[in-house]
Amino acid sequence: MQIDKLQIELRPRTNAQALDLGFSLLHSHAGAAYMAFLALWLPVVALCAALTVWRPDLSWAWLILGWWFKPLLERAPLYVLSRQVFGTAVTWQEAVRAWPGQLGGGWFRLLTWGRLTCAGRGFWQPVWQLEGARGAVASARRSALGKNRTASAAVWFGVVCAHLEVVLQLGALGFIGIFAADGKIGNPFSLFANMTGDTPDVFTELLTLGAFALSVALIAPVYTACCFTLYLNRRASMEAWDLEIKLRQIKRPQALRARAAPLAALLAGAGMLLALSGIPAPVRAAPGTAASAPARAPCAPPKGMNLPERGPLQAPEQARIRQQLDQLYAEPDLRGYECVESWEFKNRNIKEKKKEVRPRSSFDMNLIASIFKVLFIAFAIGLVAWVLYRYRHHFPSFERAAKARVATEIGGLNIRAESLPPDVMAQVRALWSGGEQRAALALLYRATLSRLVNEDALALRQGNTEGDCLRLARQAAQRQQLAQARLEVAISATSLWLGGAYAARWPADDALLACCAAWDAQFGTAREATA
Amino acid sequence: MNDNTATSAAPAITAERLNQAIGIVQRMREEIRSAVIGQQAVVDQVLACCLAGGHVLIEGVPGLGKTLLVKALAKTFAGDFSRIQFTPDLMPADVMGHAVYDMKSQSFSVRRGPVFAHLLLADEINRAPAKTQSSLLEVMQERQVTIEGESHRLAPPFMVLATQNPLENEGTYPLPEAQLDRFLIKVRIDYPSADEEEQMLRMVTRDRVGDGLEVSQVATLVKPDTIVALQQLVARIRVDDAVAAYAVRLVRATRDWPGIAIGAGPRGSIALVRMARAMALTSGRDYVTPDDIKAAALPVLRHRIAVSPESELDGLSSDELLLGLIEEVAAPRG
Repeated sequence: MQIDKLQIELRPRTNAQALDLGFSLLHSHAGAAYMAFLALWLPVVALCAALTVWRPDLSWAWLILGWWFKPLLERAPLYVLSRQVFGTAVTWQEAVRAWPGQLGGGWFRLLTWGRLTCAGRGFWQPVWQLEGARGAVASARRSALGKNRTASAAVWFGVVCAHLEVVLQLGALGFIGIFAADGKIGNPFSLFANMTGDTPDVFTELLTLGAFALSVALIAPVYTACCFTLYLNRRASMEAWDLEIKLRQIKRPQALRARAAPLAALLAGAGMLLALSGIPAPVRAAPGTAASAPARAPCAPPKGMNLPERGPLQAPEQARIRQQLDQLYAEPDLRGYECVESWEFKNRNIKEKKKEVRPRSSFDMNLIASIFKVLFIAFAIGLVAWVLYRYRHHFPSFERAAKARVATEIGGLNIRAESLPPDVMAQVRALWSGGEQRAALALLYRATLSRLVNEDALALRQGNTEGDCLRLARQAAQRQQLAQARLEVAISATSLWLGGAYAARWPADDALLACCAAWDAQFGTAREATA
Repeated sequence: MNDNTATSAAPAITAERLNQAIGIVQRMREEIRSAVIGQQAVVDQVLACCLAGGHVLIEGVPGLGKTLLVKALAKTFAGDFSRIQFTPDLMPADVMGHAVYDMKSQSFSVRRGPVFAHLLLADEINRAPAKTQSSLLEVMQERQVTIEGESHRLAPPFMVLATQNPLENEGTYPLPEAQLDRFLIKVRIDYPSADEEEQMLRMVTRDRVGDGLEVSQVATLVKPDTIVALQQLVARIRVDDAVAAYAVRLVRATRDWPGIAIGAGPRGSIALVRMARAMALTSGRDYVTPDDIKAAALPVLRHRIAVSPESELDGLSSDELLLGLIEEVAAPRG
């Protein structure tokens, strides 16, 4: 970085003036800066447009995708401006070719948690891209540069730019909507509002994407340029670039210095002679006189300042020299502290004083970033967990786990295996012969459901009717998860149960006994005996 | 458990009569299906609605065979069929009829409107203004028409099959919830499957002029009186107390269900049981099972509930909410 070739005038500027300088800088090199950005931005927009055509229902996701990668694209205009400002001409093609090499440093932060939290990223980009700082060094550098409210100025400028983008986007959409919408519709945005949840129109989604791309293309280089001049201003004041430039201007090439040496010696000698000849020192105003102190009265040095110790005067001439030195060091630039006037309340209480003297805590953006980082990681973990849960049926292990959880009660019927008598069919026959037909059929049906749920892992729910249970059993049989013979018994038992329960139509003894025998063969004691 | 008290007083349906009724219903269904390709569930629901003595609102985009279905149903019995194309300038007199002064006899004579039929197709009912809709809905409820102060009873069976297009909103007059309640069921016709569409294509393009499906091959099976007899038979289908309680549970659940702003009223429970009875007969049974209630719940309740604005914003439809409700409400076990 050759600061003596800096193309901007160096002088102390406020943050607002530094941001304003960015507009002038961008105005001077707008062609290369905008073209460098557009050369990268347009392919991203084209990709988003293609994805929108492919899946218009996810158009919002493609919009966010383009927005997400914007910080990396901003490095191309920064490359242009950072070289132009030091007098090196750069074309947009060179910037685009150099862009892949400019991506290092900060990219992970900018594409992850920093994307949502780092509104002042334009101010940090030069640290990563131009200074090449990484890790802790970059962090310390950002902390040093961000003091003196510079970081907060960058953040607020980022917020303003984001709002400008939204305003431009809405303006473009409204403009299109006025001409495209039906004349009867007063709201120009109704063309783009899809409140009904229907399949979105690809054309309107593309128009929305176009408006977004236009607003970003206009604002992003402005944001980059302004943050860059803010960064330059901060460095210039931190590192006293103005002094360095003056010194470099004084420092002439060797030959010139050799030629100028006699003249300098002559001037120095003349100066010494003038000093020793008793020419009075420049008259300085006496403190406290209205004529000589129009602006400010001298103030006391701050507490804790180490003033040089004074020894006793060894000779009478020393008093005059000391007085002259004191007058010299009384100059505001040389006395080592600055007097600042401010308004304050007359009757402040002690608590307010304490609050006032408390050192101003620099708004720790790193702490905020760390909090958002933790939140982002927690959100990411939660999102992954939700996706895994949402699509758990696609994972065989989850499927097995789901099957392992069987219902214990359906429609008020206790279908736990232990709730059934040891010999179910013996009990059914006993109830039947005892005239308790309904109880016999209820036990037969309950036992059938219990076996299907507990042994064949049939997933039944509270709202399943008899027909639903049979339908699920048939599906299980089609998947070879339920034996055909067991399904037939279930059909037979359900049929008997339906007729008895809802039509009081009791089956003949033979039909019931046949069903009991088949049940025993498939679900009961007979099956256990043969097994 | 117990027999329904309402049905216990009525004489039991004999097996012979039941089999005869089942046979007629099966043949009517087959005849309708010979004209309407696919849409089996819709055909069953409309047929059941006819047997239950209700009116049906059919919703679907144009070209899915709504009119064809109605024509085929009308052709299966030798009743009168009329069709009204609802338009914004349709007047109640165009539907009901009006009195005309006869110069010869020097008196007023009543000219009956198209509503005097057994089967009335009200095409695109939501295109007519509220005044005309209301006059029709009054007929649906009272089954009589008043012209110049004189009441005219409609000959049974009387059934209105109204259609509406869900896509177009401009220039339409949506039916209010209270008027929707007059329809026993609301049926949604969806697109046919690929096989069904191919079959329809072959049928329409084989030795035919034009692109319309015909109902000329549908045989006329019964007289209007037979339909009335079937409706009376349906009214005597057994409904167990547990099944009736299940219907009430379902309807009451709509009143507290999250996402439903306005639930179904008591007319919903009545309609549910009526429809379930008819569906039991179409399934060949003389008693209602919980499956009949469950199958009837969606067409009976979908137009009797109002989805909350929050659910609408979430993209949830009345069908999705009802399906979730039906799955959660415990079914009876006798």
